[in-house]
Amino acid sequence: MSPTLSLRRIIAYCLLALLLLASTANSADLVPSRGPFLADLVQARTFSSGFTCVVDPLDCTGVVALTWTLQAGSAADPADAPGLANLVAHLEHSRLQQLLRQADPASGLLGARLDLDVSRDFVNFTLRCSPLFWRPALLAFTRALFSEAPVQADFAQVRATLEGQLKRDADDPARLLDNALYKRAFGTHPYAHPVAGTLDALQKLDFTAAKRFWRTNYVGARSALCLSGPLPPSDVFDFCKQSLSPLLHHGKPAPRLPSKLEKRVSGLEKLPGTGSRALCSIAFYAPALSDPEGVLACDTVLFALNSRGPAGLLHALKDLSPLRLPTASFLTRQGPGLLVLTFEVPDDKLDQALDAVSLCCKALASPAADSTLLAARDEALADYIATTSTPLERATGLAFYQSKIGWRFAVDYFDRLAALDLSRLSARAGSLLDWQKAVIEVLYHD
Amino acid sequence: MKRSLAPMQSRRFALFALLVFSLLLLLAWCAHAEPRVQRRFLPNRLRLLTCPSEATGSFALHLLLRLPPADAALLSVYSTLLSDYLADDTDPQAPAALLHPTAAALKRLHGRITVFPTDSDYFEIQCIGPASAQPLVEKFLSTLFNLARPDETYFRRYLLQRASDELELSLSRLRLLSTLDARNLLAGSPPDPYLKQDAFDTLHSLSCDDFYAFYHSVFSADKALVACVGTFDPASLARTLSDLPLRPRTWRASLRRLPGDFQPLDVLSLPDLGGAEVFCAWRVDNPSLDTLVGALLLAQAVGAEPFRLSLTDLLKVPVPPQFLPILARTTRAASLTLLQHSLLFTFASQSDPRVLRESYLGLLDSLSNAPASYSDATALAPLLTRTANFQALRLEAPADCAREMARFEVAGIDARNVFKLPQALLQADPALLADFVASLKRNSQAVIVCLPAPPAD
Repeated sequence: MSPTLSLRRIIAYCLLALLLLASTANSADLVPSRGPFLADLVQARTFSSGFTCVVDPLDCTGVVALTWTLQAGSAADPADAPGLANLVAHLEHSRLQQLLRQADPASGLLGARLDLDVSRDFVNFTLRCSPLFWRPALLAFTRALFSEAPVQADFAQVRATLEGQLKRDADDPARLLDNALYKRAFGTHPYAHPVAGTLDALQKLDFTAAKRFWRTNYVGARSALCLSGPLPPSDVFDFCKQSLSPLLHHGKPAPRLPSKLEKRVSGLEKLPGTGSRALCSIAFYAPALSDPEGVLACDTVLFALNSRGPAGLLHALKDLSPLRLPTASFLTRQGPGLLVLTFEVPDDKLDQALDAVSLCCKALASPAADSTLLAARDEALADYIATTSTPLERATGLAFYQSKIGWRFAVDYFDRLAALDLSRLSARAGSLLDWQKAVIEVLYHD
Repeated sequence: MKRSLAPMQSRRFALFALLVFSLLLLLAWCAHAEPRVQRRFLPNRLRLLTCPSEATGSFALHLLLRLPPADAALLSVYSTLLSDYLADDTDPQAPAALLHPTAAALKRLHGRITVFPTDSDYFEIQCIGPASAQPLVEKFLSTLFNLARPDETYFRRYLLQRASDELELSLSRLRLLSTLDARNLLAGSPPDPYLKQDAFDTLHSLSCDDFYAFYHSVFSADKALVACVGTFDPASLARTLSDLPLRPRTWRASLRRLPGDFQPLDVLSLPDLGGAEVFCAWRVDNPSLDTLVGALLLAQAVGAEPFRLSLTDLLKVPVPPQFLPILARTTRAASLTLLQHSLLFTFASQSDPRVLRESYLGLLDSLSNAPASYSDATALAPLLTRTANFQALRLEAPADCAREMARFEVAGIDARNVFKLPQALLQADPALLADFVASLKRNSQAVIVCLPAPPAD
């Protein structure tokens, strides 16, 4: 009897082991095996005029994206001129758009698409066109951006457009709350003021200041060119050396932004305003890119908070009649970052909502949250692949990190995140989501 | 000794030379970063188009299934039923429930499966995901082609009811109505004011067997065209696709088709309206790359601002002066749809129906009087550049490239031309535009439909 039984047991254990292996294999299949970039394919070179060119030879698309990224975001604004970087970027954008409309057909710019992205750390100009035109289009694009000074004739119109935008923003509760949050959380740091500046400051800006800003910041030492599309890197580098580099003035490198704040604040602040809706932002100080592990952990926590599962914000607030979808956001920065949770509830439910979010944050810091954080990490990996597929996404992705810590971070991002030390994640979540250190802003409105 | 070594040395040298040559070939291939489209016919008659790349960690697979020839309204009914049949995630007993675990697993990887709206004469499904999701997508395709017959109760209570609701919504949209009208006219059926009622009559006269016969006929390897772009294993994909069933039986509509009573140029006009949607369509059979170049140039010229400049200055078409102010004020768009072995070229505009009807008739007349060739290459240069960039921007994501490859191939234009099209546009002989205009002029199957404009928001 007993040998037969043990044989049965052995068979049963073997079957169980096989089943377990199969289930492991299945779950392993659900984790992407590689990232959107291959380190061997993406190449970079720095040229004598100071700029770096990064080429991502993406050979399964019919378009090229050319991104000039400049360390000339709103953190570079002079202390007395908030909004100047944004104004200069829009001046350049306006001129480039005119160029696109009236270009000589030989330049390849006709029908090309131009995008502008101004943030606290950088300004990105991205041009998308057929691979047939990358040389003439890039030459015309670079010449307009770096060799030809802003035009005074455009100044008044561009400023008027931005003024109109700021006036509209003044009625937007979400914008008001965001501006107040940054001002309070960052104090004297250059990230404190809004990217677009303030209406008063914008009205005082003159063309001479804009031209001076352009001359100092639109230079090789503060720029990088990121390209993605069916392009051989060697051809691009030859072209950069011969045709582009002579167009750029070297200039001085951008000063490093302070990676730490002089003073951190915490606690709840209510903004002036009345109404039956309570719009609330809860911010936690997050690491700068000088702590890559910390940034990756923060990205993982972000995905956990935004998940639809029981660990997410949506679940935490579901019984409190949320008036807009609760969201968590975190933008990696050269300087200190902020992880911001935003929600809106009826005014009489604010205290309950704050308690619910506080519990949600505490739960993520407990060891029981390990599986949630692992799932969130896997989702972050999948999301990185899904949002890095087109030349536009890839070129701007490389540019995003190039201006902050270097393009290589974008290429290695997937592998670094996949190799993240999961045993320390809940502890990291705990120190990140420390409720006692949260900066909370509330705005009541109708 | 020397004698015996010599052949070995020469062999070594030959091997070395071969190795160097192979390396050079490899280097040359690597340096050439252009997309490479390959085409294969599998033993089960499925057409497979691939554009593999190691540069991205994801892929897009576009499945295009050719629908049998039938009345546009009829196909719209069957396609709506088919979409519902595949997309039902409410009933765990439904045949398509087998698809959902795979679709859900793909979604967890931030991939997706999209069933395209079917207002054309083919049915399209696209799967996008990271490279590691290829086995999931292959499993999805195998299941998709082998779904069981729905039971009669499910068919009546769920599928017919749902399709009926959707038709109510979609056929009340004027654009679709005009499309169906134009398709029917181009296919030889008369303009039918009771089109919507036809669709409902068709739907309610269908049996479950009819519908399953349609599914069986369409989900057959010989009707399928698969285009896959990005990071994937082509050999594994080809193996899976080779196992898809071949069901060469052709489904025929069991419903009687209305006899054709068709005029070369038909204008449906609804008088006394404040505004109208004008739909002008030509069907061009057996298009080539040159036809496509001409059509794209004309579409861009028509869509360009201002309209009268693009036609009179660029194309040198003498538009009668009385139409110029009207055309300049008109909102319009020109579009191309690649159909099975044909191309549908359409203008759509919104304006006052009385004047527009006249102006479009005048425009056609102008086109027919246009000079045989447009030799002014300088005037055309901006149009060529703009069109080449416009076309390139349609090929941004791997998913866009896969879709275009499949659509080119179904129209009878070699899919390898997808990435060559901007170059062909740039090098276009101005005569191609003239040829295309002339082909429209010759084409007796042009149609103009005037319909009430959709209400303003």
